[in-house]
Amino acid sequence: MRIASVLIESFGRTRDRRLEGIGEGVTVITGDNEAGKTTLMEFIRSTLFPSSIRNAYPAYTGRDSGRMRVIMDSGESKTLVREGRKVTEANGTHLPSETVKMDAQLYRSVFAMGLEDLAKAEILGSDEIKSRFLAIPGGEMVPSVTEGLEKEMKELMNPERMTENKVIGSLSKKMEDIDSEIQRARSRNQKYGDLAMELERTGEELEELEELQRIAGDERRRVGIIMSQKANAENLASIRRRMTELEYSASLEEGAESAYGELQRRKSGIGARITEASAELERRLEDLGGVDPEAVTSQRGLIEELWRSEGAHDAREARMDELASSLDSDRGRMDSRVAETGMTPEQARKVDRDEGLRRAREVLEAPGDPAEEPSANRAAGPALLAAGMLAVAAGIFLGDLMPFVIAGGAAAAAAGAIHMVLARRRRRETAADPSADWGETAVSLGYLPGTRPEDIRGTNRDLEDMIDTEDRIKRSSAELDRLRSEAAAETDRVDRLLASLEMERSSFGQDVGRAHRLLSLALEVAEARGALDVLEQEKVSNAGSMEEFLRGYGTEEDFLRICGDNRELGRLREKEEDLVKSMEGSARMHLEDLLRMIGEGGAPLETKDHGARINELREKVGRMNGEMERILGDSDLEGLYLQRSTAEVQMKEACRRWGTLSLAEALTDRVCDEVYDTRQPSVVGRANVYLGLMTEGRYQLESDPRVKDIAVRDRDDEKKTDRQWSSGLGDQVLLSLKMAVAKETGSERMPLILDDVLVRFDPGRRRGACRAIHDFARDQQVLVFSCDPGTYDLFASEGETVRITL
Amino acid sequence: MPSFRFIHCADLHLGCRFVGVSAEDEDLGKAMREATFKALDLIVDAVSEKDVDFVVFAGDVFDEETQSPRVRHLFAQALRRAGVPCYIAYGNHDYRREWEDCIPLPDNAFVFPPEGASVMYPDADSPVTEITGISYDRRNVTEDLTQRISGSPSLFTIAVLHCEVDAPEGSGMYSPCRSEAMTGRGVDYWALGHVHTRSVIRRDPYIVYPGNTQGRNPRETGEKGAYLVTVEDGGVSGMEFLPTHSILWESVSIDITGKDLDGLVEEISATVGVGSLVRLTLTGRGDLDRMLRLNTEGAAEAIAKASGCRLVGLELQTSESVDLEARRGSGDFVDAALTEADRLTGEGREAILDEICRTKASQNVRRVFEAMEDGELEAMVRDASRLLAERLMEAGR
Repeated sequence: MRIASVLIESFGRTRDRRLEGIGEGVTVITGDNEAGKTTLMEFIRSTLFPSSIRNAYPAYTGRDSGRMRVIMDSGESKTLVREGRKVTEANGTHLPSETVKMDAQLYRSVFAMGLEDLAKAEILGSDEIKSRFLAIPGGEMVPSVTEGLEKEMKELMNPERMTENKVIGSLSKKMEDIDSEIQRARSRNQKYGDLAMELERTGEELEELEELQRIAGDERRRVGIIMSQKANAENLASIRRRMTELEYSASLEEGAESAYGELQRRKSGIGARITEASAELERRLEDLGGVDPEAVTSQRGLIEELWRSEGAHDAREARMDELASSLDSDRGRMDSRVAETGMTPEQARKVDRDEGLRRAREVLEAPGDPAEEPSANRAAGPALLAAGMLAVAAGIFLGDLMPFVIAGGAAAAAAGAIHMVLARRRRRETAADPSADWGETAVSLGYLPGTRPEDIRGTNRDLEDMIDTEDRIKRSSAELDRLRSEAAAETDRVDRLLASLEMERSSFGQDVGRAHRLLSLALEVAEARGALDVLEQEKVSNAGSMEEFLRGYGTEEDFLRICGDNRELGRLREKEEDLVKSMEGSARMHLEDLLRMIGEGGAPLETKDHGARINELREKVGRMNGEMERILGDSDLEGLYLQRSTAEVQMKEACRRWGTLSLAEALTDRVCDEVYDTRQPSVVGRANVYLGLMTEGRYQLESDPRVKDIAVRDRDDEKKTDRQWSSGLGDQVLLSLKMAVAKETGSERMPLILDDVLVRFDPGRRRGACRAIHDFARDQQVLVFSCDPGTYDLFASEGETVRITL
Repeated sequence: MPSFRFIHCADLHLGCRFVGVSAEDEDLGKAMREATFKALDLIVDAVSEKDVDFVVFAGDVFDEETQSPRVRHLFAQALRRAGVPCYIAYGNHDYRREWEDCIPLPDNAFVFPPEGASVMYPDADSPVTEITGISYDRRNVTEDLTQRISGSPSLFTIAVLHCEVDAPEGSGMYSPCRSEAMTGRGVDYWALGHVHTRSVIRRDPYIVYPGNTQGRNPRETGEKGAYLVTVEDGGVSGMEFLPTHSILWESVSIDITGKDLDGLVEEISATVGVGSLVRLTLTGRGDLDRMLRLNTEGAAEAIAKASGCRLVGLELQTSESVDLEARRGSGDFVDAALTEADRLTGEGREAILDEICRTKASQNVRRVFEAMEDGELEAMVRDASRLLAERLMEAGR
């Protein structure tokens, strides 16, 4: 593509500037400062490759407008129309920028550059430029791919040194640590052998010392036993001697001593009971007060009879007193009646009182003289009636007997009433006049003369009383006599008793009571004597048993001695047994051996105590065994090897990944090298041609497209990096590279626009640069803007050059 | 002739660590620590359960790295528990006989000396069988020890040895021997150890490797155990394999072509055993490739969880739906990278190692890469080219 014409209608301060006659090769556009060279260049490049990134110059005004006609390599003409920022193709075809698919910045840096743009080397490191350099499809991706590979590799391993903050370094450290651990574990294991050997040595020493210690111990023990058991042995011998002496008592039958004891206890019991019974007897005799108990008991029948008759005695005495009193009373009464009646009792008895009464009644019942009913009969009825009624009344008060009393009372009352009625009737029936004969009748009937009928009743009553009194006197006298006779007999018996007991008489009661008490005491004495007799018999019997029991042992004293010896023998046997046990236990050997050893005696051997050393060795053995056990149970080594395997796997995986990345990078390098070697003439080779022209062959490029750094080598093959370049050399290198890139880039040969890029070239190199640019311009348009009028001449001297002056 | 039974085991490598697997999982770590001892316990259990007369151990009971007092103590305890005669020939990993003095084996154990020995079972007075063997006294024994063995013609003879049968010429450092040379030596049963893969090389006479009792790395796949050998009428009448592994290693290759993640997991689940340690290689082409590569760790976790196995290795030999090979000849950077990867692979192991370890720090881990086999290094180159291609394509999108 080449630019055919440019028309700026408005761009910055430039108005209506037209540029025509632009050559197909080198066109030098000159003008003074401020003539608009840079504005023109900016218009051209910003119209060819519009960009939102606008250079400061010229300031955007919004009124930009203009046109530019370009001829594509294909011969197609395009007119680019600019309105403001917008650029269109007049015929609606693609813009050049769309056709070549070039970034505006790239274009500015490589194809349309001022001195500042030339200095921008970064663009050479861009993917696109590298792609251009390598001139191979896909090559433009290499830097980014390489960058990615490197980044990933750096995560796995620092390329310069092994660091733990990277995966492989970390794994390497981990493996080193595990190896150290393994080494330690192996050392621990190795220690097992050392321990085993040491254990064997220690065991041997320990065994030897233990044997010595055992011997020493045995000796000490032997001496100790002899010392400690000697007294015991002597004691044992003494016991045994005594046992021999007492051995005879072993014949004592089993249970003999207890049987003896039983007999003895029985004897003591009997003795005690005899003593008690004797005391009791003495007390009873004392109670008797010197009375012979036999004398008392001989009167037992009498005493008991008198004792039993005491009640009767008292009753009799009372009766006798009663009878005497009654007799006295009746005798007085008799005297009174005799005196009153004038009759003796015998006379009285001869009076026919009943007839007298009947006659008297007849007399009395005769007119004017009603016969009188005997007073008893006459009074019987009312008495019965009154008694019966009284009984009924009493029965009402008497509670429980009420029915009987009431009934009895009622019957009596009824009988009384009946009697009264019958007496009244009888009196009416017998009414006659008997008074005529009365005197005689009365005397005949035994009454004293003068006795009046009306007195008969009273007389009869007195006579009857006299008779009754006499009867009573007779009866009482008889009874009193009888009682007096009995009392006399009783007194005789008492007197006999008292005499036999040599007691003074007192009253009957006291005498009999005393005799009876004596009898009781005498009987108790007899009883005590009987009990004492029984005890005495028991005593005799027990003494017989004891005698029988002791018969086989001699005397009781012998028996008791045997018993004592037997008990001692038993105690000695127990003592012997305990002592033997104690001795055997202490000495831990049989008695016979012990006694033999004590008997042998002997001085102790000289021994050394290895106890401390033995304890020390035992502890050591324990420690070693413990440690060996721990080693035997230690699976650390296996675990560590497993960890090692795991780390190895991880390491291998990481390394494999790293290796793959490294190889990918290596392949990239190899391809790059290959491509660089085989395709260099087309890019770097061309740049070298240009650089050679510019530097008169002094420098050759050493440009590695995989890195950003660009270096040159001089004729002495000395390498100079960009930091070592002068500003002129830098401009020459970059211009060479950019021209080469421009030459090789894209399908369209884009015009190269240079704005005073040669100002820092020395004259010789400027001429060389002109040659290089002419070389470039052989098939590609170059527009050179310059304020230096000599520039055209310089270019013109090197080849066909079009001149346009602004 | 009386019949008898014996267990032939070898390469117990007691306490030896597992390699190629991460033991971050506590349960797995414990299982791995105990696995070799558990195998020994199973052998001892079988002694009583199977009415075994004696046991022969054909070398590498211990491992020089992990032979510790504890390990020897546990072995001694196990032999004591076995109660029957145990005949032991040491191999290249336990020739040192560490701790022998301080932790003696029980009386029922007989260790063959380096100069060789023969013992009669049950005793010399009424022998039923002869057991002969030789222990290593150094790590590398280049002598063919089988030629020192000579059995009794009148007895069934068992030779216990740690050796390499039919190893490639010049490669044998562990008593290399030829199977044809092991005939005619009066031996009826060569009870061998060293090779961890179970095999019966010959049956007349029997030349047998029981393999190791527990696989300990991803290459030791499949069931591991011992042989229960029954001898009747002077000849082997039966060989029963007694599995003793508690952890099973499996190597599985699955093609992802046409599968989604569910389909992949389903096929893996149907292929591997639950609890097995699985080294999974995925091949083929498909959309899964991108997912697997973007989140390999997550995918491995999902596969392990869904299938119940423990994934100890996941190798992706898969490719995107877009065939990288098709980029060859395109002239682009991917093409150039694939070409360079081929070239580097062609340059060989050292070139690859040099390219990997170009930085100063990487020299510190060069041993890790040096320990890798050629195939692994070549796979890394392939992975690198694939990674580079993917990154370039991804950046270009």
